[in-house]
Amino acid sequence: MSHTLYTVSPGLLDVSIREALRYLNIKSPDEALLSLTMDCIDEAKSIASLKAVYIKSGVTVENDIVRLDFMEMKSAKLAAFLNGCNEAYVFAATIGMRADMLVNKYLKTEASRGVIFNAACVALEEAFCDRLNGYLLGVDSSTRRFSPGYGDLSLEYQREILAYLDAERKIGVSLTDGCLMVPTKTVTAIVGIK
Amino acid sequence: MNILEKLKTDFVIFDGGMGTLLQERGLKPGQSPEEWNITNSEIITSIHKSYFEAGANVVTTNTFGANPLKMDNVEEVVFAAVRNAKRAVYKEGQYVALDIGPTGKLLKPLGDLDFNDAVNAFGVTVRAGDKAGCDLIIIETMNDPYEMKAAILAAKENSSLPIFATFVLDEGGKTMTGCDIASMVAMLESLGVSALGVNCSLGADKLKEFVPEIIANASVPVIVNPNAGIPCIHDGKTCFDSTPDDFYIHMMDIAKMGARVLGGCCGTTPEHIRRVAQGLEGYEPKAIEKKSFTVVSSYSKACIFDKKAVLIGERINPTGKSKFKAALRENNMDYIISEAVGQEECGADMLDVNVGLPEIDEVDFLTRAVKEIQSVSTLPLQIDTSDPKALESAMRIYNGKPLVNSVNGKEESMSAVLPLVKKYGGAVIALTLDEGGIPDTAEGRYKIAEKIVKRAEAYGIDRRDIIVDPLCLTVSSDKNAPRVTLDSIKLIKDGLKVKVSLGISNVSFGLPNRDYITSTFFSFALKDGLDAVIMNPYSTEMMKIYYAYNALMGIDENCAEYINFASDKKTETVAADTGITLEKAIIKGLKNDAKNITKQLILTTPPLEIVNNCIIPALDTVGEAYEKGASFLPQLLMSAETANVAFDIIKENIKKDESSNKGDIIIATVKGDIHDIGKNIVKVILQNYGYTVHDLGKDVSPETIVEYARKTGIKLVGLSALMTTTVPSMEKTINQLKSFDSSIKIMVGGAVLTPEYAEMIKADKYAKDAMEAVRYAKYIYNN
Repeated sequence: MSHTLYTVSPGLLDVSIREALRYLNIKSPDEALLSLTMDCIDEAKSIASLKAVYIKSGVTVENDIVRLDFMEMKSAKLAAFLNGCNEAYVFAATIGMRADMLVNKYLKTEASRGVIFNAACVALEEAFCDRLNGYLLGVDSSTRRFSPGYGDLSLEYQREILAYLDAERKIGVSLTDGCLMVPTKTVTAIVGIK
Repeated sequence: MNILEKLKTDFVIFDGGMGTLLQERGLKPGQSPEEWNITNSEIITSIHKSYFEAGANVVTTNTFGANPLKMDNVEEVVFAAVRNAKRAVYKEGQYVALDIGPTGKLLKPLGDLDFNDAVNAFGVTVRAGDKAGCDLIIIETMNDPYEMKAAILAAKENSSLPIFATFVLDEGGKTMTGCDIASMVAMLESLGVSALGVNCSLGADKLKEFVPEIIANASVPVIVNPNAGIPCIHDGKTCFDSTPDDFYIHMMDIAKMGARVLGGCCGTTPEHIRRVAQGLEGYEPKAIEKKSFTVVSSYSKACIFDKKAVLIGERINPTGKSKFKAALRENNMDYIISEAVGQEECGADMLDVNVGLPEIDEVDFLTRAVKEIQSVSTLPLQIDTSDPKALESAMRIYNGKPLVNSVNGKEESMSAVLPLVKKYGGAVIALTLDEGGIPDTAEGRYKIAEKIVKRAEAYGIDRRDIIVDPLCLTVSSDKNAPRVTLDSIKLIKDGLKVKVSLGISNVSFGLPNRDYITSTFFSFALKDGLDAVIMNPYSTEMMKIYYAYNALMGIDENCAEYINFASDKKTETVAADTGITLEKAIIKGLKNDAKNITKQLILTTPPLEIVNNCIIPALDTVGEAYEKGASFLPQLLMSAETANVAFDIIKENIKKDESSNKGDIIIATVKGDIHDIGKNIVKVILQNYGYTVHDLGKDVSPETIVEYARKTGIKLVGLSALMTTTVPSMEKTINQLKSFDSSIKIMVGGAVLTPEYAEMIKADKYAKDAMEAVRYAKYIYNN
């Protein structure tokens, strides 16, 4: 049981414009909005530094308690999600600090670009997680991950997961006192292996 | 012989990894390696000893995570760790380095750790290590130059031990926060470290690529402590793909490039270090070349004073600008931010920051202005103040190596400013005036420049960090003044071998069309060797001279920059009259049209009429469409930005007694929450509707908000929180505000809130989006 690093060049990811627009609740974008979104996705790719760290762990489920090799979590939803799995991957994946820096800048100087750029970064992060999921399970399986903060799985577990993954040193992810991850475009997740 | 003496003539070999060796001896992932200093001290000592036996000159204590933000017993851990390391020393020439790693928290504004809190946290570790008897301090694995600066300041303030500093680079040769090698080196050297370099993250083969660039920028010994390649899994165990032999080959290349301090990081073992130590035996280290170029930096970019003159934007300065003065009095950072971004877009290389106004608290304002500008601009800053307290406060929190404006030949100035430059690192503009005033000859100015340079050198400030400004007086009051300035440039450059800068705009003071005079003088000064200029980047005349001069002098390769500049100018034509109305322009988000139409309208229509009859109705239309789902957030914001363009023109034309302010509103993201996208959106829209928004930022404590409400008497507060974890902090803020003054109205918003939740925490209003916030403000202020 040990940590493994994963990375991919942002240029190789297929980032969905639809996903970025969905995040902004936009169903029918006009030409201008579409081209601005594409532009922001390209910019996000150009400044991103995609890094992930993951480990494989045994899993046992007892009622709403999920036990990994290194921690236990209380969540009925996660327990249901991992039902039938004896093993799982736990990962943290980030697109890096510069995305946050640029989002901050745009929000202060050109808020319309700021919100779109932010959405583009979210879409990029999603695409990265999908790629990692696929890499880990060998299939396209974006639905097969579960993160602290979803359903009844407390955000507080973030702390233990990141500490265990040595995420600060390995991929530069830290937590604020309020349990928020920085860089903010970071995902931690549990991926069941069936 | 102490470590610094050895470093002068010889290689210094550091130890290798600790973590992997501890894991081999039973440390579990997630367990604190530092606790082993106390519980398994023999193991720790034996690992240190094996490194000394392998040929290392320096071992680093097992204190990577020993800071008060991660543990309570820092002193105990550090004492034990130093003792363990010292026990391994068995002969002369073996040293113990206090190891300092990152705090594990990210600094503001990206994270929630305050800069000075970080300095204090590192201070605890440094004091313990110093007391325990370390020989040097190594600050390592730093991803963020800002945290690095905090650690170095803590080391300087709490110890006099030599400081070694290494940072982490990614495959692109930058730190996680986008800092390049030249800026990192500039900052570290100016803070006075004894050696600097890189560690961790990459193997020796990859890190090797970046070593020449580090050496080309550094005047102090360079450290390279790579990983043993990339971790991989073999038989279920983590291994590193670089064998001792492999590592040795690359490390020898690195030594030949000129690195002076060599060791290892994650995955390297005593065997790796042994191979390096054996390889270096009898090998002469390359001499370290002292660099003479002048450089300043931001958190990501370095600005080297080279062939092309450095353009320092002068616009962030209230002198003669009533709008700026008003912004300062109103605590309005947006004005400063837009000046910063505007000047950067026009081609400035650096920005001068001056917020001196008698009625404001300059210490506080300058510090905040520097932080704010650094959150939107990557340009290095020139901190411009005559108040040493404000200077110190701003230099301390500046992220990078700043330029200080200024010191002069007066005793009082030199003894106040130069020690600050030495402590916090920086370059400084030296004005050629002293107690006797400004000499009217070039020789007189030369003498003052020489005095300042000598004095700076006595403080240990390198002469390349002194940039002399021989002063430029007004030609309309003294026809010989420009000649004396030009003569001074040549004399000072030749005689003192320092860089020369000018605050150039002064030359044309009192004359019409000042740009004609200023830019012509600029071209003369360039020809006489001017290295930097404080100027107005919005002035086409000035930029024309700059680009044309560079092209003509052969320092603009293929005239590329000139072509870019000049072609840009050609296409800058005013949009044809398309018959579009201001309302339409705002609804469609057409900024240029809005600007042109407003300029026309203002000639015939009273300003407030334009606001009420054109702008507000247009915003209402967009707002309605947004609420119905017919248009979307980015479009709403684009319209808001367009309306802002029109507002800016209108504000210039509003008479003093005609206020366009519909009411004051405080907004903030609550303590513990660093997401402020929602809050910023609400702010933009509220401003559009004519409200004066006092934005206190993100992660704001209840006390700060109450204090601000008390100071200003504002009765409407908007609070934002994105995460469930920070809602309690919102509740606390509401409690405190209400108990301070129950008539204050509070509206709340944010992803996790609901009307029910808002009611539960006793907010007056839940606003689901920016438009609803506007409606509530209208209701409260009855407009």
